[in-house]
Amino acid sequence: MKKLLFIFIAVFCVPFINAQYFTPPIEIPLNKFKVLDSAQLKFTYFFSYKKSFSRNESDTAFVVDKQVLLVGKNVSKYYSQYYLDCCERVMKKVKNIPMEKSACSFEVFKNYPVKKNTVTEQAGSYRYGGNYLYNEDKPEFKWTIDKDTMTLLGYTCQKATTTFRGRNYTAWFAPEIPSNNGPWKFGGLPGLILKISDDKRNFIFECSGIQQLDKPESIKLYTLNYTKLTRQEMSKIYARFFKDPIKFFSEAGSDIIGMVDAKDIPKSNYNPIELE
Amino acid sequence: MKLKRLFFPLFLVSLINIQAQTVIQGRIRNADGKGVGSASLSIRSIAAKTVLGYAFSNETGVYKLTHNNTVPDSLNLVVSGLNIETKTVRIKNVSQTLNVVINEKEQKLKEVIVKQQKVWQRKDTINYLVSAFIDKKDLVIGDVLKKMPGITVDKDGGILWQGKPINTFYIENLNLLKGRYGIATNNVAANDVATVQVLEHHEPVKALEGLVPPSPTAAINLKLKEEAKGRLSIMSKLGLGAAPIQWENEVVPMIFAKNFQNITTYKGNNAGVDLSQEIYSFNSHVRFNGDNMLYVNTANSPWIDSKRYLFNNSNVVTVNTIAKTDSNETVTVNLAYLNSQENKKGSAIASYYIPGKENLVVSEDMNSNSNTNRLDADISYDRNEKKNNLSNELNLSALWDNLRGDVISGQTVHQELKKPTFSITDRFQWVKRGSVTKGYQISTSMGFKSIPQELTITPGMYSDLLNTGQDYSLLKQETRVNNFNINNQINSYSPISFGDFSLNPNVELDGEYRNLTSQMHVQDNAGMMKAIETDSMRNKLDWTKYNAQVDLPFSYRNSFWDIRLSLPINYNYIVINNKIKNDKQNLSRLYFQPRFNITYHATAKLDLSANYGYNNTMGDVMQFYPGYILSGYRSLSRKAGHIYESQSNRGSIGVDYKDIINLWFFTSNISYTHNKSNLLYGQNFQGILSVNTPLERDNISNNLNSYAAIVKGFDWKKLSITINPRYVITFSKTLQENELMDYTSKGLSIHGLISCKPVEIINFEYRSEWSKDLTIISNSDNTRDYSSWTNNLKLDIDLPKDFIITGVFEHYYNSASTTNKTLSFIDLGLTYIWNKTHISLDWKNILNTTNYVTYYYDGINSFQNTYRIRPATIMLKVSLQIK
Repeated sequence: MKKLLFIFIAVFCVPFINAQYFTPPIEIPLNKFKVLDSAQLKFTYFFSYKKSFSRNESDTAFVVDKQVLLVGKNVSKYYSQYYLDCCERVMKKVKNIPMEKSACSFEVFKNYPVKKNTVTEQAGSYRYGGNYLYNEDKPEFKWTIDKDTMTLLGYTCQKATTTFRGRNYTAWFAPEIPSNNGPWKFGGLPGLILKISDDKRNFIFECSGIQQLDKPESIKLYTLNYTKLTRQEMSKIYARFFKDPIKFFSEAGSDIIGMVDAKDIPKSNYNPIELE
Repeated sequence: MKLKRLFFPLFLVSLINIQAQTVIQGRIRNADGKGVGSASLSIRSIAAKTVLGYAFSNETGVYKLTHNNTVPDSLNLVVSGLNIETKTVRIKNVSQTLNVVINEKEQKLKEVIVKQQKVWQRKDTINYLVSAFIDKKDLVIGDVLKKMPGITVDKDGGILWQGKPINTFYIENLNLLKGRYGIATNNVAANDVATVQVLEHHEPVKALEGLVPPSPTAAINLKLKEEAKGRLSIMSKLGLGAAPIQWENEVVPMIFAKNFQNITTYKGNNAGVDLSQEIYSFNSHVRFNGDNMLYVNTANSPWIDSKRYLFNNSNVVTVNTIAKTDSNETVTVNLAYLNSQENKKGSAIASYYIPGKENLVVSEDMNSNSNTNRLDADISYDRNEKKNNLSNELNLSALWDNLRGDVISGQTVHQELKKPTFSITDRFQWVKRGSVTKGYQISTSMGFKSIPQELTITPGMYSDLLNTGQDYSLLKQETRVNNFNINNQINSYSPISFGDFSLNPNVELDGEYRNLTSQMHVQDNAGMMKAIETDSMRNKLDWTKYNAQVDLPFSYRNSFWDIRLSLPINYNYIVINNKIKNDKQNLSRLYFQPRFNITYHATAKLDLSANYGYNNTMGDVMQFYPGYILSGYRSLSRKAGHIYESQSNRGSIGVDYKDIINLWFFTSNISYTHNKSNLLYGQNFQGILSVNTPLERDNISNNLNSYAAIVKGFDWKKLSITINPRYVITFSKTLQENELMDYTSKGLSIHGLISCKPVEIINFEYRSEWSKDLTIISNSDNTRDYSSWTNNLKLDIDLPKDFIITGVFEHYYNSASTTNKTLSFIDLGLTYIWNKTHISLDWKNILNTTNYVTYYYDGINSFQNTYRIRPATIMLKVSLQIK
């Protein structure tokens, strides 16, 4: 039974890609991990992204994931709170898990190892046929700073623009928060990025909460049996999965049950955040 | 030379470049002299404090900051970091080397409470986070539902999404209460619900999903908190007040487990709470009509909250259980028993327009008591699978209604009505899905209903008309209606489809049998009862109707368009047997009733729609009976003995817009109906007795109805604004004293609602409804208009230590009222919340207003009703949830 895969017709968007499938979470051993750092700052973001591009792009509704940035002295971690909540419920064997279908299953560790980023895709062993991990050099963002300001969460933020892997972004950073961090892979500004969106408004990260932690929180890297690969290889896996999931699963050796007729599965457009 | 010319400008450009770039470099050290890495260095303008350039120090503390801004003479260099005390150094705007010594110190940030997203959407599901809408005072989920933008809760408890009634109400995806979801909204603890989900275009039958066009209506699902599942919770309330002594008690145990749910309720009060509302089914399949052939003239209750005017003693018990097997089978049992005694007191002045004469004015003082017992039992089985759906619903209903009433209008008239009603209905549905796009459905419903009624009136009235001029002491009107009907339907889905087109033929066969008997009896002064044998005063009718329909609905659907065209052909065959006259009539009609419906999904937020339909209606036995029935003490009516027939054309256009992210909701609809019928109902007066007979005459009425709803929710101060304008205009004909009159009535109303939380401790809600009605009657200069304005203001103030003060101010204005044009109510309440216990002290109707006056038109006649209001009372209530 464990080897079987359920696919439900429901819109489920996984990291930066839009798809029409939903795989329920599979138990991840949250009790096996390596502590990389401890965080005293916790920032919550809402990540709104377009779920479907089948119609007029600008009109489709957003789905929203709640994500968290934990900032430690050396290492920071960015992950989906909805996904974690869900995995915790799976661990506790709670039945009827209300999965937030917008939950992203990646984690981004900045400056781990030093001057590099580690990105994991820890969706159990089913969604993409395994757990993946890749390292990349910490991206060099070439920010252009603008004098324009905006107040977000009571902080004066300043505008900065950049181009990153094929998309143009506008960021609003708070010089009063002296951390060069931000959501997902973003960072490198003299202040925390509270809001960032691409010019097509397909991806919007907006900070919704700032917490100074009384008890430092461990920055954990779950020790799963990761397949190590490169970012380009990971992108290929995403693309293969979303362009033809059935073929993908059969190649990965999974049985697919609980699925309606294959012709019912709408064709999804592959829309990754990283175009290059 | 040429070379020089070329080089000179280039040299200038590079010179400017060199001059424009300012380079500041150096090293950041801590007090111990060690280099500090990852420090953020930014150049900021002194006035605006905006960042002009920045750099970070490397592991050894070395930095190099380059910027192009030459304008200001001096700048601030700010050194900061999460573990660095921010240091600002004023510098000249020139390239320089600058070493800075900083203090290592953890930085404290200004914290921001995590802003929860209140509403979000996934596919067709809109989620409302209960915790974002709940206030301390809210006890049950109904209190919170009202505040969610896009969701409206009607006065009677019905829930609307975007102005349309919802089709199903689920708790954890189980339909426990069927249509009686008032039981959930009024009893499920708001604190137990995590999110309220609106399931748009919801199709309750899974096997029909994708086979039938998406439903235009939505469903609601309550998602409970994890800790609220699978455990017993009891909501209870105890209330006592004066004067007169009043009480309000309830106990509601409930449990929501994965495969089993139960809500059992007991409620009782004499405090004006209308308990029948809670067991009202919002989606019952009404197959029968003609309940109320006879009535007691009672004071007309006003259109305000029943708690203000209802003098009652009511008790209700309901038991609702659902059990689900692993194979998606559910069995639901819903039982409800209500006993209610009500007293109504008031007076009425009715003014009837009599052409060419003065208006006939009838004024009455009324006092009545009723005793109602009602029992409803529903048992349903449902197997809701993707490929196969089988469901059966059995309903048994019994009602014993007894009314006694006195009317003083010159003389005292005593009326007594007994109305026991019994009905049984069964609905069966089977849907089989062959493949993804093909399937069929077989459904059958049948029912029987019997309504014997008996109205007794003393003293004997209208002896000339009813008893050949002989005085008598008592009159008894008896009527009995028996209904039986059966409806069979076979639908086939998409057996013919090409691309986005599909054809779904269906066949329907219905049979309906009705039997109506009526008889009057008089008791002479000696106490002897005898039946009035005059044929014009009694009825004995059998009515049988067969209906066969073949329909070929055609639909075209893609992601932008949803077009449906229905071309049904109906064959009706009616047999009427008037057993008194031994007269048998039969009649057949063939109808073609096309309908079409176009929806254009312009964007994910915007839908445009247009509808048109042509419809034929045939009246039944209730519009046919030729013998007079004394339906009330001053109303004698009969129908023509002709079959009522009407044809109507109705067209409408609508716009729906919703923007979940910005909480904008807009909906608007304009419809026009053109109706033609063959009978015109009119009134003739003989003294105060109105004798109603229809005239066989083709007549036309036209109606334009337009409404809009604009809702805007804000994250700021929880502000929500709703504006609802409505305009209705009707052109029609009416018959009064055998004179045919055209009349036009126009009505404009604007309803507004503002709710907000201006400061953390205050909740504010203001409702206002203004309306103006105008009636113009032809061949007379009789034009009448009146306007009314209602204002309701509600204020909750949270005091420290969990005290809440509630104030309500209601103000009513009616321009046409001859007595009090305005009326006000003030209520005050104090609530104390202690753990999960709410203790409240309510002081209602502080101004001790004793009467409520309503004024309205009914076509050409006008009515002014005065109703007794509950006096000033004080009541103490304790509500708590026991877990």
